[in-house]
Amino acid sequence: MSRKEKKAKKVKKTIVDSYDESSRDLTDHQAHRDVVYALPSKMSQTMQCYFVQMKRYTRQRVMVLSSVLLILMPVIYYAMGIYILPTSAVTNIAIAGILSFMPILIVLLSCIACGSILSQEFNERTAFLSLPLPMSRSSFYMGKFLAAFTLVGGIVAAAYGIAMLLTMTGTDRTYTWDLFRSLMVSLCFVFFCCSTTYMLSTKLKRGSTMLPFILLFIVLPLIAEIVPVFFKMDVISKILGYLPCFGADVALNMLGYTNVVISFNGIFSNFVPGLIDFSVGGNPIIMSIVCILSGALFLFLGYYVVKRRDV
Amino acid sequence: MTAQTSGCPLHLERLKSSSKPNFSRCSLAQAIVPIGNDLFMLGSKMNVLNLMFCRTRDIQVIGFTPMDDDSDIGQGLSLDVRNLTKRFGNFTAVDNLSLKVKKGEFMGLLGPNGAGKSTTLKSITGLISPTKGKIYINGIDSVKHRNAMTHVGCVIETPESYPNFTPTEMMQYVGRIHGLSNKEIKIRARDVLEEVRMWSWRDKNIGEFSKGMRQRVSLAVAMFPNPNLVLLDEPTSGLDPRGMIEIRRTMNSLKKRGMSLLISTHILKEVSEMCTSMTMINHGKTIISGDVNKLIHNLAQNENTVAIELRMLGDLTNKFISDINAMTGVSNFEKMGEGSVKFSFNGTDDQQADIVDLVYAHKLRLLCMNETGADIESLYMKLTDEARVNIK
Repeated sequence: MSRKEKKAKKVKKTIVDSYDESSRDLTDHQAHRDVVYALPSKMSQTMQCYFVQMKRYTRQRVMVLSSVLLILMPVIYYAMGIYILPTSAVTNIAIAGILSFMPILIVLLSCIACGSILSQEFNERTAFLSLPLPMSRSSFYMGKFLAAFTLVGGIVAAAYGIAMLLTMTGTDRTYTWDLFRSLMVSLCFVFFCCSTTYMLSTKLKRGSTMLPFILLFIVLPLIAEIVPVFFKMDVISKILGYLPCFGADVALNMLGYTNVVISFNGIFSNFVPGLIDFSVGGNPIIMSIVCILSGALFLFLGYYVVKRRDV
Repeated sequence: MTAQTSGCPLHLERLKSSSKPNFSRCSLAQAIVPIGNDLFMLGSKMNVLNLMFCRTRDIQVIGFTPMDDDSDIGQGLSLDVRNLTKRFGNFTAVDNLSLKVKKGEFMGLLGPNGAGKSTTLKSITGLISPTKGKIYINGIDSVKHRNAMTHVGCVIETPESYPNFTPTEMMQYVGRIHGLSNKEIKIRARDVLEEVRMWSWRDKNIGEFSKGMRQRVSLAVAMFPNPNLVLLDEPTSGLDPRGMIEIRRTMNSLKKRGMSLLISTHILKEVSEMCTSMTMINHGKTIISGDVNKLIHNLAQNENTVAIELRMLGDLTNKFISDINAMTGVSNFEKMGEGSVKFSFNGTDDQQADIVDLVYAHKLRLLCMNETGADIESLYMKLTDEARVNIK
């Protein structure tokens, strides 16, 4: 490259670098307005929505506090364990004991993360900025959902990890595959909770954290526990035992911890012992499939609502 | 649809602006016929599928549209709305509305509250789905292809940016959705933020901004992809005079760049100052459409009425007022304040000169005589009145 060419190149660079408010008369070429670009793939746009939603979560105090609390929960439980939890030398049971808060907190965190995620976009009018962009509503919808699911799922996985660390002492340290399977069932339950709450947020005008929580943690389990009393049929009881709202109970039962105190089933059976004969489903694979299928169904229903929605 | 059962025009976008579309890797070279700027026609639907499979790095198929009998899609038009209808239950918000915005044209969309302006703009941007009708943006059917929005910027009903984000982060979000590289995003973000005078606020949270500043960020987002069509829905509503002036200044810079604009507003001055054409709608129907100056000129010719304002020194006696009221062509007399009157006048120049004589006859000293002809306000009032009568 000759000296002249080098100099010309340098001058061109200076024009871009010295671009300030006093030089508003730049040509389209100088301001790069003539650069032609191609729209990225749908997947790439979905990921952009995902990252934006994740960034939003990191700046929401409620989300940060809830996440920290959930991650710290095993530590708190471990510290209090000597007073309120049955101690066990069997690692899996000890882990399940530490994680026994999961059924309520997964539902709660899913509701906080997804309860008003979409309605907020419409109420705060941010959707008026995002939806006219050249991307499909499915990218927008899925990007936000994936962010919520990753957040809650990540926290649950982190809680499992912390519980494992805490059981490094005082137990026999026999970590079996059941632990991994239990985590998978928990994640399926997270998927179900997130998609159900997300679907509700598409229908509710102002969004709600309370309504999906009551539905998932109280109404559905209550129905499942009361209906068999009237029908007195084993088949119905067994089917209802696989309702996805018992996903977390199944995950903990897999670890050999049958007395899950902080779930609706645990609370109900502890307060009214012997009144009903109900037990949650025993097969984790069936429970996982039920969670995924019902979650996918709710996710699709929510998408159908969003796609047809007139903003 | 269609005399040409086998033909359908394709809109192709080049990735490299300098190169011509290269179909050499595609076996259809003979079947592709250019029919306009970035518009090509293919022989059959099979050809369309083949092209989709063998597209090269030089071209990107934005979409394809079956050719209508009266097809002039994309021919010099940035926006072509055809027979748009939107119903909400039994209520028809937009009724068979058609409008065309040429390339480089600034069009004002006027109408009273509830006329259907926002619904029209929302239909164009895909925020609501039309019940009936077609919308072509740069020749692409925007209802079927979201890619049509690639070169469109819009500010619909005071959109809000994410309050926890900074303007720079918003630009990154929009830039990545459009597929721009990080380097390009930085350069363009600076360009548009400087354009709307928000560059020095680029790293502050949008939640801390005033309404005017937030509106300017929205405008920057709209301008970010360097659109050739900008849609604005009441962009200056709720802003203080300074905010309004700044937004108008930005819009004027869009004009210099040759962008097309469709602006819905209640501020008639904006339309008369900035727009070259206007479409007035009421109850979802077009009342009138055309060049702003021509429409006002036609009104002035039909009405032959001017508003006259007089400012005088001296006491305005009752005798003077009754005399001026009694003059031929004077109506709607109004006393504006100390020594100032306003009235409508429909008469000859001689009769108008008599008014001046009358002022001097009453020993008043004439400070100023201001005559205004038909303007956009009178046109608006007339048309909305007529529409009301028609509906009754």
